[in-house]
Amino acid sequence: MNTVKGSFYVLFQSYKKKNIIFWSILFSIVLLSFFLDTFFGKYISFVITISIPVYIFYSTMGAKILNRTMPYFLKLGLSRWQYLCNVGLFFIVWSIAGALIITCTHTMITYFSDLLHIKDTIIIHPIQFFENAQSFLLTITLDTVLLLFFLLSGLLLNVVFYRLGTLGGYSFIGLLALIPIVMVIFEWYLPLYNLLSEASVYVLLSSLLGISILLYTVITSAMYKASANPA
Amino acid sequence: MIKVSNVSKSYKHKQALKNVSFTIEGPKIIGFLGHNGAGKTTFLNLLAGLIVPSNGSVCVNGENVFNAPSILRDICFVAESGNFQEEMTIAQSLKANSFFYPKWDENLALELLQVFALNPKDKVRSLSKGMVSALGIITGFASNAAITIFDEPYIGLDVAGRNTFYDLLIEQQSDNPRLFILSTHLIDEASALFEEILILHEGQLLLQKTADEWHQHIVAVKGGALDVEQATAGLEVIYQHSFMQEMTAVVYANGRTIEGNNITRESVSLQDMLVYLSKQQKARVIV
Repeated sequence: MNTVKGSFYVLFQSYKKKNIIFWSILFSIVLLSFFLDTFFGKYISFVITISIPVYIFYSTMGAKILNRTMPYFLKLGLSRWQYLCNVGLFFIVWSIAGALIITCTHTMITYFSDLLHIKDTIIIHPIQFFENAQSFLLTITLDTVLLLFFLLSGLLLNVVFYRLGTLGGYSFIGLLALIPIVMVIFEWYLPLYNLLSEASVYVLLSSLLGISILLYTVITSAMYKASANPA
Repeated sequence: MIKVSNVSKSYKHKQALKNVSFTIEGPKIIGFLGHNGAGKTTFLNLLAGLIVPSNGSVCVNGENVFNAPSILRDICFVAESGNFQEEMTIAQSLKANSFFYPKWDENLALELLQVFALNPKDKVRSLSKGMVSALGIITGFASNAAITIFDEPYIGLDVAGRNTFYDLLIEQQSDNPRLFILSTHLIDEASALFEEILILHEGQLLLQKTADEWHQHIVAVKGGALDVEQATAGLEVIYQHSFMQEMTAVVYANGRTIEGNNITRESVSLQDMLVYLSKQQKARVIV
């Protein structure tokens, strides 16, 4: 239990500053947009998105965590399995915290927009794809799962670079870039779009969670015998 | 007890360790020596479970160290670099250590912070090389780990700092005896501390001797070329050098008494031994 506490302490301290900087910049932009909307809303419509920058930030953080922390934790006597367990738990907590902040900010913007009679503030969020499902709890759940998915996707990319080196990593990215091309060639995007648009939020949530678990399993098995020094 | 059995470690273009086997029993201070590229850091990484051997096993008290947290929590490895998170302060780094080392001595850590004049509020990123080394030394001693490994622990530390480290090592060993493994290139300074010496050479264990055995086993024989050759016949010569009419041969005496006419026998310092080994390696490369 002590090692879990210790891992959380180290990860929190290591990423505290980056999180503060990111959220400060994001909130400054949101606040500025909100004020501009208040004064110039008659002339221009403002579109605010908080969730998408957070997804990008989280995937970036996930893509760096291994090189920054794994050698350190292994030196402190953790096994690879323990390390990945603790990182997984930290990701869950980090995702919940991020989802809470996103959803609370959305709620606050909506509240102040109503209070100040600003009608044309548009907030973009993935939950809007599901018209019948926009509750506070569901928004938090969707954001948590999405953030976890982005963190794990970033971590997977980090694992590929860590294990296979720069050449292997970029080859992997090249392979990933082939997916949309193949989708266009074989016209898979239409059935995929139809599938996604017809799916309920719960189906999508459970699918994303399933993919995240699969990613985590792949990551854990790929790192079982990994060296403390990247390839 | 550390038992190393037929351990080999290969990287892409190099074999760092070749079928190394030995046993170490503590508590004692062990000098883990060898010239650059001899395989010291590779072995220490294996012992700390940071890398997996290509062949063989490294066991502590009968259990393989790789991915074994119950064993690894009793091993504190202070590497040359990368021991701390740069975003954290000294105080935070020490607090983090307290979670991972079950026998962490908080009071000793605070006391040593004063000894090395470190400010707990300073971030690791802002520290000089010597200060980071001092923080590593504090971690090593305060961890109270049964096996404490120092790999070049005093990079950037001045003479006073290094002497403080030597004093602390002796003090800790008498107060709380454990197995200290010290790998260093400043052999002349540290050689008096070693109770046992292991020398790695080109990925192989060249010798493992206690400090007392050392002087009996490694001998420099000086004299006329013919006399030295006769006296050292049948012994393995580590290094041989002739100047004018005099020859010097450094040999493994293996406890045998070297006798002969017109020869002198001298003990060889650890530092000189490594210089000879290095020369021997260079000579082989040139040939």
